[in-house]
Amino acid sequence: MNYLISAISVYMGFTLAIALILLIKYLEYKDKVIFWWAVGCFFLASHALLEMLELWLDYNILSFLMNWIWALTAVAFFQSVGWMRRPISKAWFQISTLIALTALAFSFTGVYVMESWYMATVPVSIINAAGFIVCAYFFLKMVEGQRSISVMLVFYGFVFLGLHNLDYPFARASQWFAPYDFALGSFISIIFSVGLIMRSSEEFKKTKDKTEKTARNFSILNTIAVTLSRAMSLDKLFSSVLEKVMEVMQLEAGTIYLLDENKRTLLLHAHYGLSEEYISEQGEIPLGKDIPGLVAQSGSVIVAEDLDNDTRDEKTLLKIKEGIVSLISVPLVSKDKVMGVMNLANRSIRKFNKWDIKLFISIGDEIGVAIENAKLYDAIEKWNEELEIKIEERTRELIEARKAMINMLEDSHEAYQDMQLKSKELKEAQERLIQSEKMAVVGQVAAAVSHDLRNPLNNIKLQSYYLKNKLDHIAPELSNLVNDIEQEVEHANTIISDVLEFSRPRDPVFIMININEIIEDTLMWAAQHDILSGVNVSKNLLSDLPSTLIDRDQIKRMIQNLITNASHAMAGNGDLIISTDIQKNMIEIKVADTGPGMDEETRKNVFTPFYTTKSQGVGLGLTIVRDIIKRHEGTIKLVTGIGKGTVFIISLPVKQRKEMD
Amino acid sequence: MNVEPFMMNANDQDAKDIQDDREEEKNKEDSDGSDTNKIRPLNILLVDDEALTLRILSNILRDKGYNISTARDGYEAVQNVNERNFDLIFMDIKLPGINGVETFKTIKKIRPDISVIMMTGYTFDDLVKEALQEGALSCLYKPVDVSAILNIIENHN
Repeated sequence: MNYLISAISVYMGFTLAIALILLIKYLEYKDKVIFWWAVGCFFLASHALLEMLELWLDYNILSFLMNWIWALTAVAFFQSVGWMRRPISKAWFQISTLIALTALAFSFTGVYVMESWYMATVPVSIINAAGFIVCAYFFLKMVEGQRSISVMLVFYGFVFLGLHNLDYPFARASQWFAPYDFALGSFISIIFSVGLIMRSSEEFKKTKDKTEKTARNFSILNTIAVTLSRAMSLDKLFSSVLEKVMEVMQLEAGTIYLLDENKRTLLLHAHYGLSEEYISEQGEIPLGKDIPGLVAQSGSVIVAEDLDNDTRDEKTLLKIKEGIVSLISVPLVSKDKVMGVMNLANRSIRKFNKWDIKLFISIGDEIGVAIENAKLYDAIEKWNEELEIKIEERTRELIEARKAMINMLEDSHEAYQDMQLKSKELKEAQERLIQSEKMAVVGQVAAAVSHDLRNPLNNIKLQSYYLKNKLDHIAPELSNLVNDIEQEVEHANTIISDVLEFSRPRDPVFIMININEIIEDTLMWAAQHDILSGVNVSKNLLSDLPSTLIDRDQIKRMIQNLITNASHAMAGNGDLIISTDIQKNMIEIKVADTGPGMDEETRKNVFTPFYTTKSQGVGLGLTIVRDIIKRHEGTIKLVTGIGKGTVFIISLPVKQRKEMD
Repeated sequence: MNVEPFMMNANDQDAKDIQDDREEEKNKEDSDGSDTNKIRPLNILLVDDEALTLRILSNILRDKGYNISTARDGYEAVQNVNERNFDLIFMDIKLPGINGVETFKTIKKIRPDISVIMMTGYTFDDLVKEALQEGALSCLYKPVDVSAILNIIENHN
């Protein structure tokens, strides 16, 4: 007896102590699991008290009460299990469930114990069965709230009740069956408990799966966010994230605001399931205003599950305009810095448990990081742009430098070309010098030779004259032959004269004279020397041509050479037109023939010394013409072409004596 | 080498010719002395270092009826002038020893009234200018036109 009392005392003290400790813990943590554990422990303690009183008081009445104590204990522990909605260890869940089911089992076994007192059996059994159903209902609602399982448990209850009633005749038949009864009830209770435990653990697994699924959703969300942060603009990313959150969490509306630190306002960047009116009105929320403003200011979450009965001073427009009832406003944080606010809302009441809140906080953190990344990305973009501009500038500078260098090169190229030209000129001058020196030597030789040649020519000419005179009397028919000799002498002399003129030109002696006179004179000379035989000569001389300072002999020589050339070109058949005119204070002399003209090759070389197309002559005639014109500061032009005849146009300046002095 | 002896011969021939001319001249003078033309024939001196030139020109002018004397160089010409009266002198500028122009100057001192015509193979020569400045009547360029010579002679006086 004493032993029993002391054991019950220890039991009672122990449970009471645990209950008190749990109660204190509950007050500290506000965790409903702990609360229900504490309640459960109080019931256990009260059971101990009943046990103790049983030793002193009436046995039957207390037994009846004890059944209810056990039932209440079971309810308490079931409640604790029901609040276990966060990732806790499986062991704790099973312990709670086991205690609850054991308590339940005891409440039933208590009925059997009581059955030995058979008068109370039927009503007590009914009450117990009802108690069981109530317990099962609470349990199932708290754990999962799945109706199918509830129905199944209710069915179990009825089965148990049936067994109970089935058992009754046995109990009545004999007291002997009472221990059997007790064993059967215990067995069924245990089976039932095990079944419940198994089911619970299955339900737990489902919960866990769901948790994992949500976690996976979030993980997917996160992955998407991270991926998207690189591919799209921040706003698009937010919209996408918000949509995903809405989808996963089965919420109706949401917004994401970003904090503008300079303006100290929140700017709407993404929204979901809200009217245009609200969006346009709440595009900007000042820091500290409305619920999002408060969240942004404090950096902590605000959860309002039922805005209809909210006691906050700050009434959110979400409630007023959009009829939002449940709202959770989460700060978007990166490195302890509020970047913005995410609001998740529902138009009907939605309970957010700790787990939800934590998830939202996590999402907020993720978004915060995404924002920061995006900002960094933007900064990099900006930096890139700046870099590009800089590169462009540098490139432009380089191009300009290159241009400058090219210009410089071009300049130097010009200088080089200039130098080349100069060196070419120098070379030409040198060549001219060499040429003139050569010519000087040629001149000396020519002068010497010409004298030596002219003496025999002189003798031939004289002798011819003598011979002709003699023949005129003896054989006049032969005297013509002598004329031929005389002409050849003249020809030979012309060649000598050309060479002398070319190689050792004498300085011109300028006198005032009318060129027309020289032309007339030359034509007379030509007639005398039979140079223009067969050629139709026409003159077109300007009557009032002014006199000018020229070397008479040289100009005569020039005209001689030109008409001789023309005559040769026409081969004694054609028109020679010689004309004078005045053009821009220049005397213009034109010598035109109707000969065959010149080809390009000949035209180019016409003034080249010793160039000739004739069998006779040394090719100095036009060279001398050119040189004479040069000495008179005039110009000569040549118009010719095959079959077009040839026109030499000479321009000589009109000079008065004054200018010569 | 073949030319050399020929030239020698030619020169010998020239010398002989000149000798002949002189004799001829004397003969003429002697013979014509009695029946002289109403117009005295002009005395012309030809000065050239070319013997052939002298001979041909002498022939031509003698055929025209002029009295021709010849000289091979300047000294000879001066000597001639000292010995005899000449109306006209045709003188080559290029002469061995003293040139034609110098000879002309010397002659001018002895007989300033003689008309001197220069002859040259050089087209442009300062000596020509000088001679003309000194009072030479004209300058004929070789090869000489006989008609030009005759023209000058005929127009003389």
